[in-house]
Amino acid sequence: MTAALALSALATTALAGDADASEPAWMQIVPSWAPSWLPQLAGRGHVVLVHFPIALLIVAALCEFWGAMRRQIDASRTGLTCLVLGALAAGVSAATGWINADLEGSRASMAETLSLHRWVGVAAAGAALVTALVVAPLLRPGGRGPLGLYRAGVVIAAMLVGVAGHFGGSLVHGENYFWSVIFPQSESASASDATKPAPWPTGMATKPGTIDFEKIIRPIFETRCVECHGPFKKKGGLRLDLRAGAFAHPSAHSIVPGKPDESDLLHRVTLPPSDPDFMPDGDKPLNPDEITALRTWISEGAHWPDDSAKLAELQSRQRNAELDEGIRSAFEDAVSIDSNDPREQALVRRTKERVAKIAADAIRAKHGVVVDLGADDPRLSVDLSVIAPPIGDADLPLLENLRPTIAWLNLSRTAITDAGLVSLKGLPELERLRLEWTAIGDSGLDFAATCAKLGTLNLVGTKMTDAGLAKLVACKQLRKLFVWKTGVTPEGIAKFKAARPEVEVVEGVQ
Amino acid sequence: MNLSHEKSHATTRRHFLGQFGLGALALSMLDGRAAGAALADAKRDPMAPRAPHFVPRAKRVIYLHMAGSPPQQDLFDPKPKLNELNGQPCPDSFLQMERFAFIKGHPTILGSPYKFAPHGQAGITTSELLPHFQSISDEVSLINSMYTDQFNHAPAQLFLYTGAPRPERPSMGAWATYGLGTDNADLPGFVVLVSGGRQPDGGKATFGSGWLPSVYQGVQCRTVGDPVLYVSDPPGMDRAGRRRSLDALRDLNEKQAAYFGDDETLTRISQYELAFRMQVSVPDVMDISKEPPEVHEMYGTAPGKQSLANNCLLARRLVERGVRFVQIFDWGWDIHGTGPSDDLITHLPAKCKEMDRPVAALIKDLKQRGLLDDTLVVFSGEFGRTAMNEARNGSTFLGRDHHPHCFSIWMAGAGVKRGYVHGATDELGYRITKDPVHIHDLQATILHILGMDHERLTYRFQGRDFRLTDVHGKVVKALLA
Repeated sequence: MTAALALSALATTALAGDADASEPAWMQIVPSWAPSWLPQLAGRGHVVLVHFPIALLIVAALCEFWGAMRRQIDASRTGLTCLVLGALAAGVSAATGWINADLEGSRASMAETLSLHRWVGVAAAGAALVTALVVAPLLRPGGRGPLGLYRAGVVIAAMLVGVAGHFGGSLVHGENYFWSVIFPQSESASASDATKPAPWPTGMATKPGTIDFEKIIRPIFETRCVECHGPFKKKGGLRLDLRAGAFAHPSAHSIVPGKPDESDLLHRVTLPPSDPDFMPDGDKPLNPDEITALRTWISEGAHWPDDSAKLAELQSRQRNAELDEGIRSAFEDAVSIDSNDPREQALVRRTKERVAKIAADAIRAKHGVVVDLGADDPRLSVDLSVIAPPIGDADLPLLENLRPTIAWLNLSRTAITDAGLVSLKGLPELERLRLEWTAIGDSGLDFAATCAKLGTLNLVGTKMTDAGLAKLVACKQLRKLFVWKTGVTPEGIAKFKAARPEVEVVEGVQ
Repeated sequence: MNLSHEKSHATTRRHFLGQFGLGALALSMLDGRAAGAALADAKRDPMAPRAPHFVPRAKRVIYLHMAGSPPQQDLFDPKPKLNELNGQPCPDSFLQMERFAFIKGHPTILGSPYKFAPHGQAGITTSELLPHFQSISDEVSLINSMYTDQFNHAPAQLFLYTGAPRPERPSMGAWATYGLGTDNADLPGFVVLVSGGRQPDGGKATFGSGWLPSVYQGVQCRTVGDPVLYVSDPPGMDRAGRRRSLDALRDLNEKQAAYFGDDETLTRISQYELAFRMQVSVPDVMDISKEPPEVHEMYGTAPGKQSLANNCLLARRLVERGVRFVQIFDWGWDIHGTGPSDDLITHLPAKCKEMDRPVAALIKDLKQRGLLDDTLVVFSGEFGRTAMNEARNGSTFLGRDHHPHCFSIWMAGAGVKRGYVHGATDELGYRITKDPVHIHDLQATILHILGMDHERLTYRFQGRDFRLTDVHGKVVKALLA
């Protein structure tokens, strides 16, 4: 009975035809004790409830159809049960659906569908309720009573509920949701869907008026406004180089399409220059032709051609530039910053680690070794001697970004030359260097003198001579030197030892 | 093979919780890309070089094992008192609570027939059987106070290399490569070379990986024929064909690894790839015929022969190329005195002659090449030998039985003192009187020299964290340079 009451209330509202009323009529019957969320919850219940009447009424119709085919003279008891339940469910569904439509609203494009859904649904509920509550009680066993009317009512109710269901489905899933599986929409249509431009502001003209935006309006913006309302400054959140920026803040009313007198932009450019709100701020006023053009353009709907593609491109370019700048500056910071701020120190450390990891991975990819000296000592041990085929000067740039932390370096049996080694310049942390069995000669040993911490140097099998040995006198931290199978002479070694007695010079062992 | 069973075996409840619960949480908290990549790297290449716990003294180890165990009284630890008491019954105290491998009854003291003299600047006293060793004695740390728990070869060798006297646990070289990976991606990280005509009594478990992923086990290379068995391509298979078949195998194995998540599948992938690279790299490194004549003269090597000399030269070539751990076994040091093939008078001098020159040459060669600067060389047997003559079954040949209570080993190279003697034994060389060094202490010290804390180098197996040193071991700080 509640359902019937609700239905009658709805019918009253509908018949009153006051669609624009701020408060729907059904509000009057919501009891005052009901929580405020109740109507909305009930409304949303509609999408769940509707499945009951659809199934029940269709089953009822099938039962009667079957009975008629079998020339049964009594109504199907199953069908009757389904009809009664279905009719009650239809009534509740219609009522909740009505509330739902009022509260949730719908896209404007769907207004017609919603209206059809609403009324067909009400009709279905009405037909079902009338058949179930008025016609069915008149039936008598043995074929007496209005069996034909009953059967017609059931079938009509079922058909109506099916149609209502279809429109409801369209509201939820969109038109053609069902059939598009078999009859897909043309590709161009779906493609244009995907690249749909940003929503047009309300009242904005979709077609150019008499004022050509690109030829007349944009040049005004570009020359007089964009300096402050553009990509660099965006004063007041307004930028006039992009449609999305011009209409970004609806509350600002900068440009109200079709209503030049409500448009703040036009208002400001027409103020006297002394006014604090005057635009362009600190500049000479727009000339009357420009103001007229703007006024006409706005009154014609402020058509602004779609520039979302340009926007996207600008955004992505900007992001890339920011990234590049971020990486570059982060790296520069990392190698130069000397900060006491723990957070900055952490940033520096992480950046260094990241840069070093990329460099280390490049060496590892060649099967070279880059490994911390120890878990407690982040200086590096680098071994390029294990790379096959042997690396040469062209591969030495691999070491560039590891330069600050290399402590042990093994370049033995590689194809590097003096020039390549010297081009490495000083490695500030280098302590151990293995160059044995390379073509390094005296000129390459200039490198050693540039490594302040070099303590162990292996030159076995190189082309060094006494001249190179003499250069190593300058390596203040040197403590061990291996010169077997080189061109150094006993005299050269004696001379070196005289200068640097603390260095252990290992020659061939007898 | 029932695949569903294999999967259920591969992923136990603990694995699941560990890998997918906390693991996923930890990953999500880290920089996703970096952490994921590091994890993937470690998974993809279990032999990738890794940083040790602290700055290492040595990057590589050559372990020279004199299988059978040489008599310390005749080589490194002179005991004049033995010669004084030669032939007299040993003190009763030697026999109390004591069990010998072979000695029965009341044995007699056996003096050393060899003369000792101090050598080098450090004046380390060694036997006349080691004329070449005299020239390197200033390079070594001699430990006269080693002791072990085991008095039979197999358990003692296992104890030395795995920390336990039963074949089950990973060997020292496996622990080293597990902890550090290896530097040369084209060669095995852990190479085993055997001479003396016999495998070590402890079997392959002395260089196995135990329950570590099997990628860490030692790869035995031969000096005769193919260096590594089954690495060469069979007739009809060219290198391109091998590459194609390996690519196909890798695809299949990667699918299996992704499905089962078993480390052993990753081992298989990495070993196939290593074997492919080894087809080129191993014949090259194992070919000692390329060495100049003076090197062969120095080591006493003869290409194509199975000998300790060849293996010493190979060890140098391997560490030169970045192999992490070279394990050498030389059988024939079990001087029981049961006949002329294992006695003190004829056999021991012959063995020493085979060993002395190449081992000394190895130290010198490593030194002049600068390799001794970051390579540790260890020389040992698995236990010591008795102060008494064994006289098994009344044998008239002189020899000594197994003796776990004291023996001598030496270390040389990176991280250890030069020309240093550690520890001492009593005047009959029967028990330690000063600075005892247990096998677990030696293991802890070797790991320490490689930059690893033996208490932190662990592997979880069957719910427990295992280490090489079990629950023992102290780093012998006095040995460190």
